Amino acid sequence: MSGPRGAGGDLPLGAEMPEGVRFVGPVPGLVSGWKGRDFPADEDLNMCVACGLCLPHCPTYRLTGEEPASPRGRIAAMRLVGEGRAGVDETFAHFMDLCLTCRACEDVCPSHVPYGRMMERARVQTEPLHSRRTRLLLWLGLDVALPRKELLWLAAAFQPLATPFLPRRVRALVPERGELLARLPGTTEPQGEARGTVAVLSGCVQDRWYRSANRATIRVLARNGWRVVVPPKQACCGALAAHYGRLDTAREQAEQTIRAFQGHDRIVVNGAGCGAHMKEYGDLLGTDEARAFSAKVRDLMEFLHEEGVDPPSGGLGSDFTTTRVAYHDACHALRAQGIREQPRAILRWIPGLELVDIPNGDRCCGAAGLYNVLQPEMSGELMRQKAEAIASTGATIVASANPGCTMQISAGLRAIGKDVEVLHPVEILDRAYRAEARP
Amino acid sequence: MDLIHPHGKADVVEALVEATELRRRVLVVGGRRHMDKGNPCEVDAELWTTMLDGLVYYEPAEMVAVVEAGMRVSDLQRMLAEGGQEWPVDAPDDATVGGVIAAATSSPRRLSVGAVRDTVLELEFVTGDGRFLRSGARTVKNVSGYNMHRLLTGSLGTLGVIVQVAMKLRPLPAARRTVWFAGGLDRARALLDAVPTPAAVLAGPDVVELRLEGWPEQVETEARRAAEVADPVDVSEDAPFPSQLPWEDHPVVAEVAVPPSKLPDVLAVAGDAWGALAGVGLAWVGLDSPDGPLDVLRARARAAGGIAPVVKGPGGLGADAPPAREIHRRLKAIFDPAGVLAPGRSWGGI
Amino acid sequence: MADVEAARRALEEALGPAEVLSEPLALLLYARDSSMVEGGCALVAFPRKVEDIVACVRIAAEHGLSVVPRGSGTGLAGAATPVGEALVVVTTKMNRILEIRPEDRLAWVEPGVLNLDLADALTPHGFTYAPDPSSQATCSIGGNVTTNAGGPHCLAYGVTSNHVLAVDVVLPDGTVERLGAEGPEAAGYDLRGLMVGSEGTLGIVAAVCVRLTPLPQAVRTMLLDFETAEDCAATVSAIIASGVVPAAVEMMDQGIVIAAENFAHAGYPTDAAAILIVEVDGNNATVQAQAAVVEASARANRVRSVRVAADEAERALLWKGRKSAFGAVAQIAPHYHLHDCTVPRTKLAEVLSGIYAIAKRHDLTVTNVFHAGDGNLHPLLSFDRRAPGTLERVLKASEEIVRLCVDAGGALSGEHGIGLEKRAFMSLVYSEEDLAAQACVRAVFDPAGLLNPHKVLPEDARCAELAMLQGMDAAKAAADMPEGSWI
Repeated sequence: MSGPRGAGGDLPLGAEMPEGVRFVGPVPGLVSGWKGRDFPADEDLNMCVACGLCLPHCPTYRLTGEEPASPRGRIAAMRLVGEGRAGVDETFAHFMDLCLTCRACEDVCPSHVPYGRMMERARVQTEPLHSRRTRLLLWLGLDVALPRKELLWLAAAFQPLATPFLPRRVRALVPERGELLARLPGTTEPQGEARGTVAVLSGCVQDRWYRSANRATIRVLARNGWRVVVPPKQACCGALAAHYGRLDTAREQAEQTIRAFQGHDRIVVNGAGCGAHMKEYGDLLGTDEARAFSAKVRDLMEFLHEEGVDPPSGGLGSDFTTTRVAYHDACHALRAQGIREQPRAILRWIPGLELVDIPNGDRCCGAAGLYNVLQPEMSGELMRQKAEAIASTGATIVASANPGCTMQISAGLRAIGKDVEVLHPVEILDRAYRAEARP
Repeated sequence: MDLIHPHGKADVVEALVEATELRRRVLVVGGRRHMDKGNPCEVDAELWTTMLDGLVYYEPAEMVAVVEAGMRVSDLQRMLAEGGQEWPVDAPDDATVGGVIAAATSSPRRLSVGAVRDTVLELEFVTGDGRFLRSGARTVKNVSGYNMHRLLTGSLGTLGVIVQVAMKLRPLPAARRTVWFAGGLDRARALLDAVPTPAAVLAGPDVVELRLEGWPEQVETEARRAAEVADPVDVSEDAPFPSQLPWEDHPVVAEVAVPPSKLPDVLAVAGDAWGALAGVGLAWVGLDSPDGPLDVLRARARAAGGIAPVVKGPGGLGADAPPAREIHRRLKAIFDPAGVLAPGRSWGGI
Repeated sequence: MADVEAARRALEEALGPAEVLSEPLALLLYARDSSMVEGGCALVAFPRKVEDIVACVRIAAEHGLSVVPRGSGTGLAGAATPVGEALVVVTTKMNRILEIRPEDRLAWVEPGVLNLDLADALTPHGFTYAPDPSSQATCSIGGNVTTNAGGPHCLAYGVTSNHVLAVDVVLPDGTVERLGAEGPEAAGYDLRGLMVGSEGTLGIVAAVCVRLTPLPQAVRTMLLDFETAEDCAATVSAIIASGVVPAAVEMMDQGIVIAAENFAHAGYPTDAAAILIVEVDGNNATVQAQAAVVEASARANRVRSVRVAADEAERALLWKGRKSAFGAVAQIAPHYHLHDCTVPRTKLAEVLSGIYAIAKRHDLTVTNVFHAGDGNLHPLLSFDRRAPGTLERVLKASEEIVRLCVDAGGALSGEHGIGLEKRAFMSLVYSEEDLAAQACVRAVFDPAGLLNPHKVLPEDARCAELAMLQGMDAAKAAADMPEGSWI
């Protein structure tokens, strides 16, 4: 801009800037750097005014202090690509990869920027940039294995053999063994009159490696008068595929899940990551059917709180001493679903249970899907911080309603040598119910 | 000694243009109440500001007053009192507004009213070579450009002649009370812990004066809390504050400024005519001469990370060079190129 | 012509390769702060200690780069927008609270400590750090110092300058000095007072000694709503005129209330023309008395309802809405231009209606959120940058708003600073001679123009003594021994 300035002149006072400075906004004549049909939408990107209120809530920004590791910076990077001023290159991919998608930023954003959705789309764009090896492993894991229960069974079966060959950091994470035999019962009748029928997601990783949580889920629901159905044709809900840029796979899995749960009006999910994703099927598929499905999905603790539970008369130990339980909020429960009070309210009904919060409890544990495998340094630091925060509460049990978090927290506590039991909150309730039966 | 007695701002400008041309060294004089603060310096003329005493603007609803720098503090405070307000500097009645700012001495109520510099919003001043400048703004919040008015405040008349001031005011307290206690600095600190926001806690070697100001209910509550710490020796609603200034009886008075926790250290060598503000770190110390005990006092203050300039009598500011000495020299050079404004009076002999 | 490559190598060696960014995309992310103007930089460096800052300054000078200091990058005037071949020195990794000394009512912090983190760390000691900008969750103390930041509670407690006892700064020549003192007075001219608010042009803050403010015994926060902005502004004047100085008096107009409520769900009345958030503090008795005066003033000016926060949670919610206003306004349109003029309190209503008229004339949406207690307005012009011709209208309206405020006796900026965006307006409030003197002050510190060029002063403000100062600088450099350097 140049020319005479000031009131009455051609340019307003304040319009002229030194060379190399411009007012923010798109540069005319440039073409967007996105490819394909899945990319962060312009309308979404333009909701961010770069106020920076998200920064202190972002775990990666807190750890690094660097703008590219913050939501504001990542959105700015996406906007630059969208405006054609930058390309989807390795630097861009690196910035996107470092994000946990914990969505703490969404919570505090005064403008309601839909960061989670934008990151999913950005990951579609960066997927081709990963190393061939990474892409192969992700393809095997997310596109091939997770959607197929038989392959997961095989993975669990060969785990003892494969374990010594796994990289140390992966070995540190994975629980000792998975369950191979037996299945969850297809239908479980409640005690007494049935209030209704609920269909539960058995999950992919959870069912294989943390099936105790699933069994406790069925027992607790039955104990509270629900007929519990585990639809046989379900596989993986597709959350991880969506989070890692494989929206086509995710869409397939979403459709499969919807079909598997056809005819059910109450769909209950005991994994926070899964439940959050299933509630967003409407966004993902864009169909009325998907939206209707998503409206029927409830997180397990949310459901139990809404419908009411029988307060247990049993405590956690046979001698009714107070057990301190720390509650860990999974990011996908706290943020994406707004679930905070419900599980706490339920646990407080258990006699002899002292419920405590974890310092900095709303900061991500670093599991974040495959983050713990793909970004070991950042994840390891967050894992350590979370484990130490849990240990500082003096709790003997930590409640975690998401298999990814459970895996991470268990590994973290092992790493710092602290003996704290990691249980799904429904398992804790289940214990209390089972304690009632004892004389 | 020549006398320059300007009637208005234009006269001041003319006088300084001339002073620079003639290399005539000038000392700015207001009410002659702060002359002793500063290193000794030789001058050829005095410039009296007392005729620049007009009111420019006062609107109680704004809590800002704009006056010419030669106005006497008493005249100002009387006018402000009609609006229910004060300029919280507690300076002598016949001191001038400009003098108070150029000397930047501290109010005994420093704990609650803050420093003089925090009340100065805008200054008009004339540089050593007769440039008429303005810095700051007449609003209580302002970040527009460089705060030259901060430099001028406390500069002892070595950077420019202050001719007009916009100052931030505060409401006069609805209630006041002084409570006396026996004891020294320890007692003072105990009182400060019990009453966290008094107007002042002034300790002497064996008496503490607690000054409370504010809403009547507040003063009442605070007095009660203080009485829980120790038994009051006396109470008054109309005593001036401070009521006794034992240090003023001495020919030399130094104003010690150290972090508050270091006061005991410094006061240990201060003799027995002193008053110290607990929670602030200021102390006025009365001495009999500018050597010996003053040097010891200054050494202690320096060791505590502070200073001890003399504010009454001989003794100067002390040998401490200011930080960024080169910057100080250059600032002096740009505001007073010919070095005619009280050369040598300020810190480091600048 | 700067030798960026050589500078990069030197920086990586001095600070460590992990502390230097040079990839083009990373550099683009440091091209702006939260203002409307973006520039570009050549390198970004993250010092972790004072010596690193000194190295950055030295290396930049050696290789022809200018230096742009940056904290959290939440500035609203473009002071942290790099221009030309610049090294952005980011202090976010210097984020330690070095010591808290309640007995001296002070604390030493590194410049990258976040404002709210500091206040939270002080709470267990019974203290707080009073200046609380809306961005306090994110902004850094170093940034606060360089902009003389304000915030709602500055009405009663004073701005940042009142709460900074001393700063350790790295000067443009690489020396380190402590300006101010831990005690109440320091030797020399008030260089500390000059540094606070100098927007990163006189030195880089390496450590800050802040004043601790005792936590008040009691706090009462009230929400008052009005049918007209005039009644609201009149209430503010009435409160002040009655001798009460609340801890905070904040005003929000309907547009911004709606946006803020949408995010914070604080129960703001979205049909009010304007609302006031008034907070009084002190001991229990004082709070009662002051609150009564506030309510009486409001009722005398046709307040519709008075809501008092019942507990800390409700108080936090009322403030959440206010403090998120800048971000929430994005719900109205993707871009906004924000002003920061301060006007005399008694002129508030008149200036406010003038601002609405200006916005209407230029067919723009304006919302207002501001520190009514000290007349510090924040008109927000919302717009979509992509629509052609919009930016020009915004800038025209901006000029009119600034002129309106200056004519009413106001200042250009109450707390955000001049930065890049407001330089052109400096000549509306200062004479040529004033600006030349300011340029000289700047040249005293930085004769070579290394630090944050193109900021604060208009391009044509020149120091007549520049040659002399540059000569003094060269002579000193030739004398070799840098005074006051730490290592």
